[in-house]
Amino acid sequence: MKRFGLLLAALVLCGPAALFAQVEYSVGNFMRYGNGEQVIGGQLRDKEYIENQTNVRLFWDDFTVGFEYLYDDPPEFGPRYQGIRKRFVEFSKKGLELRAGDFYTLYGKGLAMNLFENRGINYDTRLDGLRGTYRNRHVNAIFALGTMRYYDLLNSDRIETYSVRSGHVDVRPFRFLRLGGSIVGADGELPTPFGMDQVHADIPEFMVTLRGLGFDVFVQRAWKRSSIMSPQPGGGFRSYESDGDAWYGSISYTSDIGLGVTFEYKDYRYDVVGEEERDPNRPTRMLPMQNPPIVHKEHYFTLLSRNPHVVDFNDEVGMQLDVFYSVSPTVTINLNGAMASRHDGYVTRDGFLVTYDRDVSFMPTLDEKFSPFWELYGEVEWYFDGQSYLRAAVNRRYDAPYEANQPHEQSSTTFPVRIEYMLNKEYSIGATFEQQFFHDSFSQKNPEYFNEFVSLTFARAAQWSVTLRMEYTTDEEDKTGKDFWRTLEFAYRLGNQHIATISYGTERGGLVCTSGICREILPFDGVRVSLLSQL
Amino acid sequence: MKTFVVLLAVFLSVAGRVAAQDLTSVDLYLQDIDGDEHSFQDYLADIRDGSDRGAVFISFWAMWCEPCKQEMKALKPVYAKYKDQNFHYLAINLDNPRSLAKVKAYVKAQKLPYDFWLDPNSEVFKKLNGQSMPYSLLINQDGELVAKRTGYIAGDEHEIEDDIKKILEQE
Repeated sequence: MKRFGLLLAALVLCGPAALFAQVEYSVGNFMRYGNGEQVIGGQLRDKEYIENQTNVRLFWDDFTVGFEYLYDDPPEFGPRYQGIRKRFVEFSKKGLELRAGDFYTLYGKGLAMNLFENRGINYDTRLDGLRGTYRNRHVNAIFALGTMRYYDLLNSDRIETYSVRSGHVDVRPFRFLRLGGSIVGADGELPTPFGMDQVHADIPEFMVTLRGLGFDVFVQRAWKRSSIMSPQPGGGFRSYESDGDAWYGSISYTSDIGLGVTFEYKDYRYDVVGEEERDPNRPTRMLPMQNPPIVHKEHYFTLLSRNPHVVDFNDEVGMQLDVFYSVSPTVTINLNGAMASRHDGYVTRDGFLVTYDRDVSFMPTLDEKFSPFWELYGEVEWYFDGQSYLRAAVNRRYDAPYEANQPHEQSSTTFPVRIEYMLNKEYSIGATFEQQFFHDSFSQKNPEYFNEFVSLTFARAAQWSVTLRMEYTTDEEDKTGKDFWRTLEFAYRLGNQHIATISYGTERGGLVCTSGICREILPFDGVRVSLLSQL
Repeated sequence: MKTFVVLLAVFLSVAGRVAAQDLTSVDLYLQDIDGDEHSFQDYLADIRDGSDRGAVFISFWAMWCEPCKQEMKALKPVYAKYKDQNFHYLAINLDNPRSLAKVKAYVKAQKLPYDFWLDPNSEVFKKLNGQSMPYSLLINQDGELVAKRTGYIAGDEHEIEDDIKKILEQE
């Protein structure tokens, strides 16, 4: 790391002064501070965190140099960190890009390779190494080599390391056709109670895209072969192999009458194992560099974004239909339906686990034994009076994962409404009301309960906004131990370059959109301050 | 920490000699929603061909980002007003494969008249130092940065329009 800093210093300081006239820069800084209490591991504890994330980019002719300095001590989530977390040098010219350092990359829809970061949950699958890309109108070719340190989401002390080699090529011989293929090879070390599992995995894939007559058709197929050397409790190693595969496909149709229809299908069998072997850290599972589409709706209403269906990428088949239709220039309808299930089914009978398989396992089923999930969603958006709008939706969701040797049934009906009204050219008011009727079979005290979320905003364009968020539940087993949450937040813009935010109160957590920015937040009681700067 | 101090010192020592981020030489390569490959510098060159004056509003958005979609809707009248004066709206979508398949259906159904490019693993967003969405850059036809914004509050479109006018009406 020091070597990189010194190299950068030498590059910048030793260069002729005339060169600096051509250097362009960009600096982004995000500071967050919180002081209060948080429910951690089921217990309320004092919580103080400070995080400062500085991102610098220097652009000089065909070169880009970037680094991120992170001060995360004490952290809100994940491990403590002080230092340069990411850095890269990139050369880019006429479709050719070469990068040394940290990078993310994506092949097709991510069945073999989809690297990304989500700071909110400390998820980061970046590679540190070398990447080359060449693209023009007919060819797109990528190679990526590097190492990955993957922090377990539930236990940040558990770190998996991988050495990854990969390549991808796609060609477009005709405007309506694109054909591609990739190969990813990974060697990993995964901590176990008895030592390190050694994994070698090869993941080849191919993909086809067809476009024309208003249709876009995409199909991707991947295979995964893993060879494992696993340390045993009594000493020695056990060597074995595991095979898996996956299909993903989508068809979308658009027309000039304001209609857009998308159908997606998934069949993920990366590691179909019995319920008794379903360890989330098993070495044969889908690896962290893979991240295929979830094939159900990603919600932006707060109560709908909570308790989402958790996709089992190792064993799940499903599909989704999504329709957008503009009835008029001011009214748009969105309808969505999704369903999914496992390939094999499980029930516990007389204390024994009984496994069921089925003949038509390429289609999802609603049979209770196969952990079914389904969701229906309808939304109407009406823009009235210029920029003022009303959005009303209804959602019905059912999810029955097989957990802890018994089926866990969750279902909900949710009615969210959002209205925003421009009082004049500068001032606006906004309100969100969400009601949710929830059923959870694991809840001992009251399996049927009710959630309500209300958000009220008063804003002055380009200057400030005040938001009051309140939430109420009749769930007597909420993990925070509360039934009412309220937070007042004030955000102020200093020019276009800085946004300062201060909030005080109790927050249940989840996806929150305020002052024009959406983010995931953890449950927290106390004061939070943040300053976002873009220079 | 030492490394950071060294880097900061280096950065500050040359800060007087560097220019705020323009996009005059930075090239970006992305596919549009129809699968066609684009180079950002070629895109700017086409704009310069059309006139000696032009503006591009680059906006990063995603399907799950409500303020982003609100901003795109709010700027429709502004776009209609200035598109004949060589004003371009480049909407770069950041949806990852989770919801990427629906992007084209959404923009076609909404009849949004902008240029839509896809950045499904946020490569370009990070290269241009984006931190939160919506993130927008307003540049002139040469790629010189005029304004940079994070977030959208209803009514912001008036200030954005003022900035666009400044570019298109400058002597």
